[in-house]
Amino acid sequence: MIEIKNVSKSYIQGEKIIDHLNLEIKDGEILGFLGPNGAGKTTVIKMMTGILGIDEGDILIDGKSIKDEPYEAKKNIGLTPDSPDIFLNLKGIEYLNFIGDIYQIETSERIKKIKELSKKFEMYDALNEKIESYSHGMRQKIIIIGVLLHEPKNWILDEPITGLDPKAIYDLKTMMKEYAQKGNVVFFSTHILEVAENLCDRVAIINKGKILFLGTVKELQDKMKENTSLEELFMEIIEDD
Amino acid sequence: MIKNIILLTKISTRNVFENFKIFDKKGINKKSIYVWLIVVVLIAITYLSNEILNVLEDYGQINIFLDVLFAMIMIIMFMQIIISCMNTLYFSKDIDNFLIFPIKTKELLLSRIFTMLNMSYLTEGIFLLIPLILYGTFTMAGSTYYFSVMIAFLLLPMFPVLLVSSVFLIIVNLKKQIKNRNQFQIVVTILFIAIIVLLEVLFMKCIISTNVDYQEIGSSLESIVTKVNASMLIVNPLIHVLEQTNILVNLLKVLGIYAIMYIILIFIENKMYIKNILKTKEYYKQKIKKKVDLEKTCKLQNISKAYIKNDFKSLFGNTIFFIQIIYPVCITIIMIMVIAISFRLGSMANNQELYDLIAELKLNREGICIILGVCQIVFSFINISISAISRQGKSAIFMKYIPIDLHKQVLLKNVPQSFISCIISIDLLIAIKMVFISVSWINIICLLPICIAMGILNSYIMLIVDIKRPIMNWNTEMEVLKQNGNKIFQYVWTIVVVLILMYAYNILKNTYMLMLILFILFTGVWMILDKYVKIQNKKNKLFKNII
Repeated sequence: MIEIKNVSKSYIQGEKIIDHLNLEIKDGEILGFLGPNGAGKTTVIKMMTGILGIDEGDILIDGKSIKDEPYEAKKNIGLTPDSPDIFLNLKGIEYLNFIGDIYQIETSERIKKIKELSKKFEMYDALNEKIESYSHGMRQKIIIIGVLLHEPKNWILDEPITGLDPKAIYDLKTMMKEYAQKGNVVFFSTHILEVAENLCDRVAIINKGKILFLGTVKELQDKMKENTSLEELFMEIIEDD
Repeated sequence: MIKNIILLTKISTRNVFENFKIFDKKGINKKSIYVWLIVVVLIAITYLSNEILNVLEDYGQINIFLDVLFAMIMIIMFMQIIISCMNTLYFSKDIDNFLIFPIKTKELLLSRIFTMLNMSYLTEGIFLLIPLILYGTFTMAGSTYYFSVMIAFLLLPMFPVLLVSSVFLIIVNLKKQIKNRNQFQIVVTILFIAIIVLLEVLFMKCIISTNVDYQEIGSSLESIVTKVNASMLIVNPLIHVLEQTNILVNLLKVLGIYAIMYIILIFIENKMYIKNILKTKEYYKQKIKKKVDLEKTCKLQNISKAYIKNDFKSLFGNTIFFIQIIYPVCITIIMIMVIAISFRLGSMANNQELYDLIAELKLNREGICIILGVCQIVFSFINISISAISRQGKSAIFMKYIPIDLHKQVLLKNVPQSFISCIISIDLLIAIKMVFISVSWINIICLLPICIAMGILNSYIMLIVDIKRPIMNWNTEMEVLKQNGNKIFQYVWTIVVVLILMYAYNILKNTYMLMLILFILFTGVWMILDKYVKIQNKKNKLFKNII
């Protein structure tokens, strides 16, 4: 479970990027985090994962404060960052082994999971190649495999769909659903509203550092005009703000 | 055609120079650390040139100055061009962007050549111009000399650029297939630099093998340098132009050589340049068929071991990092040994007078401080810790979300440079023992922990600098060190260490030597512990720029 409690953040004094944000994501839930560019989505994700400090409030990951108990909290997080251009000098398998060592995954379990996940994402044959030779989508996939390798209780994804081919998007969505069904949290930010519409249990719409809406897509539609698409609802909320 | 070449050169040159941020909208960027670095280097070169010219004038050997200066600048320029040539001709991102336009191969090649020339002019401007002007004032040269300086300035870098480019064009063509771009680049560059270093070692050996008489050193040095310069075809004619002997004939000689070199280059370009560019691009398309053997490759390792191994991989697995960081360290280690061995087996073995003179030398307080000062200067050439975070680029944020304590990560990141510092310390102390035969092994063993402590402290401080001021958004690996203004902190720290050693010597010169050794050792250890505690307490603040 992730609890964001009254969190604020500002880069320039007096200008709050995130303004007293409250959000709770329960176990087994998929929450889509929507918002226009510059709304504060990545900032929230960076605070949740310990990349950015928190000015006010606190974030609890399975009851552990990311501020006060970062080590314990981080053990339960898996992050898929927005840019997949990391560890380009390593081979795919070297990267996965590095992750396996950092999270101390036993050899037999590691082999089993790497085989299973890489075959699922059609990456098995590319594991012996350097990540720098991968396409954008393949880089994204190797990072996702790396996250799922250590099975974190809370899977956080920053714009995960960007750059993936339709099959990979389908596989990822299936995997996110399966992952949540096992009782884990799946929290992701996206610009692609259709993904949120048919994947999320709840959506949170953020703009200028504040949550404008939190609820199911159905609740959102009920609240606004009937028979409109999520895209139109999203635009309506943002414009109202 | 010329218009296109100028345009392409402008774009590429701007890309190179923008990284240094030397210019802003108003002109020279006074906030750029590079501007100040250049100023410091220029002051140092002015001072050194002035001192050397004074000494040479006293011994009536002022003519050697031009020979040695040109030999040195050619070595610097050759090194620079060899390191950047492969990248500029084949692997630069600019080439990918230019290939989509209707540009002739000749235009593309010449624009790459001119880009390298522009980089060389900057180097020349820093290292050659002031010494040449000072030489002019010492010899009371007239206006023709200064006009000749301008001609020599423009013509000199063309030789290494044309030569190295032609050789690289042929080498790439010789390979039917470039299966591994990184390995290929490393092998070719190392081979080239090894040749240059070998020449340098032979040159050094010739100098230190000569007699201790200054007059004889002068004339012997002049004959060696003239021979070295003669091998570079255009150097001696250009020196003659500066010395105002047969200006026209020598100038024509240089232009003739360049005309031949240009014809050869264009001939090679016609036959192979574009074909080879496309060949190097194919590298990425090739799939390595060898499948991974999970049973063999997947083995659970200790977290610290895996973390350190990953850092070493980033140094050894990347061509540019290897050439810019690891290779100079290897060269330094080899050079220290080669110089010591050649001095011991050459000069000392053949000159009893010199042998007796050195055998009489005892290790005293000054000696200890000088050895430690030299050790610190050698440490300042190691760029592992100062680029530890920057090398990772965007991957550096990984450090912040993995479940490993940030302080522990600092300690682990410190290991590669500390390890290399240990090797250098041992290498240097053995070299000292080989030359200064009277220094006992006990003295060497006592000095070793101090050198190692200095190495660890140096690495620790440089790592903190990089954590506080990381360069995470780079496009090519070349920018990591080229753009790294943090290097200035390394120079400042080296000066601080030298001052501390001087201070320690001054206050403890009348006490036991052991006191001096213990004082320096404890100062080093205390500083390491101080940094350790400070990082532990302020780790979150320290990492705040890694986002």
